[in-house]
Amino acid sequence: MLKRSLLLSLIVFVSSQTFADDGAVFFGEYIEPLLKQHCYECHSHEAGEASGGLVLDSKAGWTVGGDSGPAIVPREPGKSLLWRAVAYQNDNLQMPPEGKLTAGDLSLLKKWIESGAFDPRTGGQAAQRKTIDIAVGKQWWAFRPMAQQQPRKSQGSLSLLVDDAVRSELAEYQLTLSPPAARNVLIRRVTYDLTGLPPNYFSFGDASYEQIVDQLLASRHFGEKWGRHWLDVARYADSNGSSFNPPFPQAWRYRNWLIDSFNADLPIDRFLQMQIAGDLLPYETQQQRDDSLIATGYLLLGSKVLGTFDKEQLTLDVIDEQLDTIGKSLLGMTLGCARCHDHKFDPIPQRDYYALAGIFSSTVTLDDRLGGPKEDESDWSRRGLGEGGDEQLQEFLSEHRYAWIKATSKRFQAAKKVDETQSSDESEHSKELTAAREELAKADATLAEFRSKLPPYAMAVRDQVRPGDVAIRIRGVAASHGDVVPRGFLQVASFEGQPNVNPSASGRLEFAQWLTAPQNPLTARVFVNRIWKHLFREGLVRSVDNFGTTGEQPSHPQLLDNLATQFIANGWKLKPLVRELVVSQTYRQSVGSPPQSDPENRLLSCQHRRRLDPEEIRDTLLVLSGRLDATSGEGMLDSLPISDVSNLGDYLKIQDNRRTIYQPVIRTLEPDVLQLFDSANNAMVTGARPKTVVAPQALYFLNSSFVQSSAERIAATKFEDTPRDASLSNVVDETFAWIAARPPTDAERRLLVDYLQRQADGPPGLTRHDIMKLCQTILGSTQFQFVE
Amino acid sequence: MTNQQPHSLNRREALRSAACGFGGLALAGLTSQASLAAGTHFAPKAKRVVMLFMHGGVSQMDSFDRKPILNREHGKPLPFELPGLIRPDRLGKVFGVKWKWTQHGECGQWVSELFPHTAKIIDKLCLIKSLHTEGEAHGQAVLRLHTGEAAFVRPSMGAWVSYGLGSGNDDLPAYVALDYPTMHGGVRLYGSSFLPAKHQAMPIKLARSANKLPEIQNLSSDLLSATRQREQVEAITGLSRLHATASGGDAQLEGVIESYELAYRMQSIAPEVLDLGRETQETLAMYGVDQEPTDVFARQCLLARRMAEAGVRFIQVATGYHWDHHGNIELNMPTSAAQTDKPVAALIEDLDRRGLLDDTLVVWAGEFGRTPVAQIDRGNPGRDHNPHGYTIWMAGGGVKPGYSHGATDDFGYLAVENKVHMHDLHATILHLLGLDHERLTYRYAGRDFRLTDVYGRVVDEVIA
Repeated sequence: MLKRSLLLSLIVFVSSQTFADDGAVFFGEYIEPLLKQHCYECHSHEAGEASGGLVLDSKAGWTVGGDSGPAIVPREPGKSLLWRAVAYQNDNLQMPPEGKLTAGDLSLLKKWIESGAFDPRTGGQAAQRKTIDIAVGKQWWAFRPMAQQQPRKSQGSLSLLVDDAVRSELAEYQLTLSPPAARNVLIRRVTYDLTGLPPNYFSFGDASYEQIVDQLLASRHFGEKWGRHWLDVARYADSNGSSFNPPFPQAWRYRNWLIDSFNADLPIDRFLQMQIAGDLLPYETQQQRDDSLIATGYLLLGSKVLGTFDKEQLTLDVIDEQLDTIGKSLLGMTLGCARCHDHKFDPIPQRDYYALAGIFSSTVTLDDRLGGPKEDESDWSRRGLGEGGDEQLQEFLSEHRYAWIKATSKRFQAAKKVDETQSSDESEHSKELTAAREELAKADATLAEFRSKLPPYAMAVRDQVRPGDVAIRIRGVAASHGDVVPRGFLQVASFEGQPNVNPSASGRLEFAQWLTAPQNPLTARVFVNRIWKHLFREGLVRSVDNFGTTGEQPSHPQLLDNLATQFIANGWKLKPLVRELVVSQTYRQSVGSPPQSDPENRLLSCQHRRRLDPEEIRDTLLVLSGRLDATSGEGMLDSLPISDVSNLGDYLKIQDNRRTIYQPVIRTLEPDVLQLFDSANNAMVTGARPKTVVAPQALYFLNSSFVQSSAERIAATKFEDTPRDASLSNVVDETFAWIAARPPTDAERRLLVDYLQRQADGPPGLTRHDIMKLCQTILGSTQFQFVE
Repeated sequence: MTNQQPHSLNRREALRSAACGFGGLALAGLTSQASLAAGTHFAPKAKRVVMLFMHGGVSQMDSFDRKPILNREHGKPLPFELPGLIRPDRLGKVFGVKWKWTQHGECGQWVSELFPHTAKIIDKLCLIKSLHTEGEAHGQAVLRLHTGEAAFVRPSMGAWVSYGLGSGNDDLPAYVALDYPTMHGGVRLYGSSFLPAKHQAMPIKLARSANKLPEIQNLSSDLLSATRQREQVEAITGLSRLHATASGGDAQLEGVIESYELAYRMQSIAPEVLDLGRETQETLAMYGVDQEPTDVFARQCLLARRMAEAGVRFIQVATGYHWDHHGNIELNMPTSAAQTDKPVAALIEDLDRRGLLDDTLVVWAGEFGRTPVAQIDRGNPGRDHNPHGYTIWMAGGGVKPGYSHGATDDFGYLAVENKVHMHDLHATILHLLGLDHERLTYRYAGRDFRLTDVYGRVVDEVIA
């Protein structure tokens, strides 16, 4: 009410009098109240708010202006940001946001600006820019150089170093390590941790623990397990997801490359360099060249809003996704926060973001648009493999890209038509079916023709023909250009002698070198901490993707630094590091309840219990029921059209009996087991998976056809010879050991024998159905679902 | 700063006292921030939401936003530039409206003849004729309607509500998504993203299930009778309890045991809620069950009411992707309207007569509206996408009945008066539920996130 009467009186006043000659009176009577009423809430010192860096409570406030510069150009409303904002002339900046000012207020403001914007207020100041002091920022632990301190007793052996460090921390709190876990418990733990598969209790033999560890490290399943860890942080998927969801039919090459890399113990510095700049690295063999191209798939796997019509926006969004991924996965930094303004918590100015953005805008991620009716959909960059493959591919794409892509859709539709006709038609030889099959044969032939000209290829990047720097985007708005910043890296993590961007190339090569330089304070720490997390369930820094000031500090800082420097000194080799960690006494401890003095068990006075990953659940069921296909998956999406696949329903349920890591991840349709249990979010860096317990997980163990059929198969194959009059406790012992890799305790045995007796339906004696139920019960139990 | 919390000393008790709900368990030390402390930021007007998603984008000028000028100017060029446009190359001349319009109810709202049933309940609705959003393509606009964001993966509105309010019952999920599409975002439209998984919706399938009966995945066993399954659940929990006891109590293990108990309760309760056969003939007929063309959507709406009654917090229903009338709007729009009009009106009536409408907020919305000009690349014209101004409505749950807010320009193209952005709609929905959109935050990757990002304004004018 007050607002309305005030306005009313102003309008009356204006219309009945000429403008006062005295600008100060005019300002005091009309403009200041108006600013106070409508603007101060977000733009004044009094309110403690300077949205967009702008305050209007002093003359200096608007003459200096905010993030976008001076707010008012006296006498020129058209050039005054403030006027354009209040007149709602700018779609991106409309003030006040809750609704336009009245016509009366607007005309007052306009007249004031037109007449020179006289502002009698003296004193006061523009909004204090919080500037980031890099030198101060470098004091944060994660940016400090790694401190190498030779530990006293544990010369040479990393595992002793670990135990030493953990023990000495524990001792300060009068705590000790827990006793080692029982042998079968430990074997199950280390087998899952290193391969993601269950051990076979009946073939444990008497190999020493160290021998078992070495066997596991040499197994090709090691790469499958540890490759999956990396896929989590690489936000891997086999389709784009989002609003327009084409498949990534070649993404598997990246996935298989990294499995092979882990198995071959490719040095991690090289492993990371290849993913950032593989296409720019020197090579000796074609295989090296191909692998290096494939590795850059890391930059392309993000989920993009391909339908964005504004291509500049799309480009910047793609870069943002890349920087967000690189920041969290490699540097433990939330770079995305510096897109619109200086990072609010970490010493990362907006300049640094755009210095990095220039590197990726100088990189081809999205290819030219496709021709044809879907011309508004952008496409990902492809590189040919093999000798001369890249030239061949580019030639092929420039000539046939659209026709080829259309042929994939045609073939898919033709195959679908055959399916539909078959299922709706009784007779095998109906005219329709024959016609559909002919169509399919034709579509097959057309596609085969294209494929014969198409060399193997990968999702991979290249440098732009004209690399260059980019402008800061004020408030992150694509169209609001600020200063152009030279390409470069994070200032706060800079070090002496670091590489400089070669202006005639994208700068990815130098960025990759900078990332993996021994002096880079972040990369090795972040990586080693991830390894620790997978073996000890929590990182030394628990916020594994965030080493910034909003993350956590390390529980054992010196240990983290020692591990990282040793890791670098040993040539960035993963397997030796994993070996040292799992042979440590700290790893071998039994699980237990943490003491009251350390309720979160940060000091590691016992091992943490962990639940099986969804991949481990599925893979284990395949192994136990004798169904696992141990080969690796390739090209499983070749039957799909290269077009939006979100609506293809059952055609997307491409699953076989290979390990879960090989099952394609369609971003809009995850396999059940991954959706229900805690899998990685397939569109975001997930260094630590969530831990949830929800009822649908229980329903899955009780009622899903996969668990039921697995239990049936275990009963039918593994225990097919069980006589009907077998001793119940023997049967319980055997099935329990088969599934949980240890004999049951007396209490567990009694409970299961009792269950078998109670639930028997038919005549006395064990049936296969009874054993099935027994198996399912054990599978449903926490004894199976957790690793001790 | 982080989400971890210390292990609870008495986990069993913590579990029992936590607001559990079907979807999951608030486990101290396991999932933290699992749910806000019980209670809202201020007194709620609505306790639950039914969102009716008109997938494809309903034309505002053919439904509730009457623009007589379109007929007068039919075939002429628009007298102004179309800003920020979609596909200018395929946009033609002003395109008239084929339908008769009449005023309805005491409020005197104009409603096109395509929505005769909605017209009858118009006095219960609160129309917003000035909604606007970003995203010229379906995927982006659909994601923005459901999650507030298209470029990044974010929790859906229902997940935020579940996080904010917990479940409204002990045996059913807090959040369900009925017949949700796999396209235009798919699971993201009802996902929890970085919020704990218990806040994601339980998907229910109806339209494409056998005999159009509602289905929840893995709800029942094909192999075991109810008795045998009860025995099995007891054996599993008994066995697991031995494990938990031997380990001196572990929240994770206790959580799994509890999840079986919840699952079993759900198995017993849900079939009852899903069973539309328990409705009277009169009710079935009122929704249009077993009638064409309403059968499918009638079942969906009826199920939504049963879920609301059973205390489900957030119920999302999708019509199927049939509102995208680029071409032949003359034939297709009446079909879409006929499939949904009667069931929607019945849902409002039914909620009202059961006393549920007062605290149930019903939201009827597409992802965007459509253009006042014809799309020219089709033989029989229709209208193209238009995120710049369109109509949605809400009913019950504390909104003004018989009310209309905001307006588009004369041609129905741009929202011009009392504009309501998608973020404002979200802020308003949360507000009606007693949640402050600026305070409903979740810390993830070092930053506090909210449904409305840094935007959003509660539209006080529509609140009763």
